[in-house]
Amino acid sequence: MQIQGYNMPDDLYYEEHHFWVRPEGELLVMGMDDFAQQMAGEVVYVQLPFEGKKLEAGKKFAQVESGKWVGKVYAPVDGELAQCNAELESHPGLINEDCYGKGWMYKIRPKDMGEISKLIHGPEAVEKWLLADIEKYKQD
Amino acid sequence: MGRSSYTVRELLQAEGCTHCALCAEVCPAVSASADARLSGLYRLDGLRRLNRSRAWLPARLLGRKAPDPDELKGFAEKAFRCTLCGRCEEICPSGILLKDIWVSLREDMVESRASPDRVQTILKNLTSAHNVFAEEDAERAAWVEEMREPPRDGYIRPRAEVVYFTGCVAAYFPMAQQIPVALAEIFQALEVDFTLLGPEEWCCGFPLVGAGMRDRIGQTVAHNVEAVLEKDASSVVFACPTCYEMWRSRYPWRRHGLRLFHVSEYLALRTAGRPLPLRKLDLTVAYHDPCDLGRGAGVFEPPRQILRSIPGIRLVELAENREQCRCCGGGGNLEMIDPDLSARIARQKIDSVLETGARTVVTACQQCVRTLASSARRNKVALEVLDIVQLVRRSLET
Repeated sequence: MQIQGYNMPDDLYYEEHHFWVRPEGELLVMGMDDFAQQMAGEVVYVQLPFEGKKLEAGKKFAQVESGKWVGKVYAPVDGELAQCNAELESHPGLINEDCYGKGWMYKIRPKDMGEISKLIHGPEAVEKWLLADIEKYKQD
Repeated sequence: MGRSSYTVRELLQAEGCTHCALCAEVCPAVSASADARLSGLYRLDGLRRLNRSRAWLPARLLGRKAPDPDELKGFAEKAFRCTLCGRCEEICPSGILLKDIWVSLREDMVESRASPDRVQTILKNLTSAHNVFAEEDAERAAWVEEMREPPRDGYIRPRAEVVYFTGCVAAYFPMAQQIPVALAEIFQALEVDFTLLGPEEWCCGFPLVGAGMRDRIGQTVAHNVEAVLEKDASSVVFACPTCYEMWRSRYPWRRHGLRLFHVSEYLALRTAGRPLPLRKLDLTVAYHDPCDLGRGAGVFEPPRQILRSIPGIRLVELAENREQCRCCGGGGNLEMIDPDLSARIARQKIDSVLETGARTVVTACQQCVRTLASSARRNKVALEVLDIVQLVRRSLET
């Protein structure tokens, strides 16, 4: 789905700070959405925490850097970090090039897969949320 | 009207320029922008004209007008597009202490209400959040949580022999947070009795000095000194050369009997009689002298001594090294004022590293690491950028 120049795939779940989540077997794959990567500009560093790190929904667990901007990455669900995209260590720009594909960031082992239902999902909800954020960042 | 920003010595020295243009030849901002108006020569000329136009009686007699506000803003914009690297001062055959003049010039521009708008953001953030990025005090030691086995006390102890003053860049920028993590692990291996100040560490105050507001650093200086004294520490160790230079030159550390060390000096000293168990690293590295550590504090040899002590390291020198080392582009608040110019200077630095044949550049400054690593990634250059602390940690047998 295209919303005002931002590509927001319908099948994904979204965390309110603009990170997408996709179930993959027992894991959740996570990355930055198109709106966030466009706002951030060229990503130059992605923090890749150690695997096994405990995650708590809504709590910061990593950071992303682009020039003078530092963005925080919040856990979408309770669980633990299962894997980081090691490619991002040397090629963080993959997030800008292909944020829903090669630029994926983390794989999470959720405590309860059902928690993803609390995330933003479905065309109507995503459009409403994104339009509100576009307006908010315009004002900023 | 900011003529009072200058000392008598600075005003006299400004008159001593012989227009040899050597400062323009070595200026990284001039070569990266191809704009000679960013040179020391141009700025000194402008300063002299400005001060003559302000001298009320002679100005009236000679028919000189007060500076036009737009002209002043244009001049200020050039005064702030400088990394304060001090290379111009180092080469000046007249011995003009240019760095001091550039700081006074910025103060003059602030007082004359001609400085770039970003300067007010720096003041606002430092006043409200105690760091230039407007991050929370509570997050200052959050990097400790990135360690696999963080200590229960988070390295914030009631008292210790050494205070490790982390600096804002390493505290808040994820790319640089690997440096304090590595240093904490080295300190543990050396059994150093150290503590962090945690939320009680405030910015050292350099961004205010570089923004032309050196008269506003009093509160931050007093706070940081008090925080160190509360730990009963005898030494303060810095991995940030700018924090180190700020403390050395603008903090009352002697009065309190404190000893200050850049981490390269501290490690060189601590490992002289009791070397760390280091494993071989088969690596050719170029060393970049950070401006505030080299030209600023005169620390050239300790980092090289450490590099030579790591088995397997082949140290190569950049064509411009030690006193002549060229800035990475990350100093003097330039990244906040003109990020594009900062990036162009960094790209030139990367090219000079590649000319040595080394594919790893080591420095001893967290801001240089950020600036160079960001440039290498943006330009897709396969160059590894490391702080000396990270290299020592990599070599440490644990």
